[in-house]
Amino acid sequence: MTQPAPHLPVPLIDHDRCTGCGLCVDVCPHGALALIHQHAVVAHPERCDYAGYCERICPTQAIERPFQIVIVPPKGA
Amino acid sequence: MPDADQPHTAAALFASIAYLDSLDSATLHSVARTAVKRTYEPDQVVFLEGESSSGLCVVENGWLKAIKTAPDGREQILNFLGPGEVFNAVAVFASDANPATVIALEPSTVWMIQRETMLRLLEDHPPLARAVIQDLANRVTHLIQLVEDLSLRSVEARLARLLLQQAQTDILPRHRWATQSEMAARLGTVPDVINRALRSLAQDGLIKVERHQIQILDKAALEARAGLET
Repeated sequence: MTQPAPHLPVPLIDHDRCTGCGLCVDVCPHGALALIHQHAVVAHPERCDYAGYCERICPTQAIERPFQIVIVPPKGA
Repeated sequence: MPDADQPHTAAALFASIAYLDSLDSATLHSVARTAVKRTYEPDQVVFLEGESSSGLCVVENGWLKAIKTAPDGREQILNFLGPGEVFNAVAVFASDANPATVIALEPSTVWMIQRETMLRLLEDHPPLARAVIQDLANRVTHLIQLVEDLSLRSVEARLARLLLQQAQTDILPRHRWATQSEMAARLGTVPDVINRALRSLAQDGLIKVERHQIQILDKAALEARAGLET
């Protein structure tokens, strides 16, 4: 969250908050997450479509999706 | 840990900030010799709200946040602190406990000038006193704005303003990747409410939430929703 990402980011997982419940792993429709050593990780970032199911279902708010905020110029401008 | 090897670094830093630039070189070096350098890792607490004041702090590098925390753990960000910024002035000059908690967001270096040193400087250097008054006045203005936002504006309006600020002024270059939790902490609410407000703004065609981006589609309409004059 604090580092500027040179590539498109994947959801950030705070391992201090993650309880390893596995709900995010179950809810991800693309199998992007996995439990490793009782902590959720984005094991397959190429599969992540940023839908946000993992962020919404996490009971401890350990998962966050970073967004860039941009102004889109009007068409023709 | 005092850093006796780097008084010149501290003096150069102090000379570069508006707060202290009225002091002559000899005075700056004198202040630098007694200043204490501290380094912090991300998420490390610089000081806690309610603790006795430790001195005036000057950020050499890194980013930090000043927050108030609710009993349920929810935090309200008062402001972000970057290189060259000064904090903890209120506690120093009011001889009071720290009014807020300060936490490092990334590896940060902070110089601390002892309260007694600052008080002595104020007596001897009227231009410094004016700079301190100016800085405190700016902080009061900022906090009045924050009170206005929190008490008189809807979350949607506050969010609209935050989106415009972050997209336009790029005041937080290290924070261009914003999460809903971070936005909630800045706006005094919770991520679910931010999510609903984003959906509402998107339904009205003002923004579009795309993968990795919150796109501002209609800047003028978003400014109107934020209550900003156009």
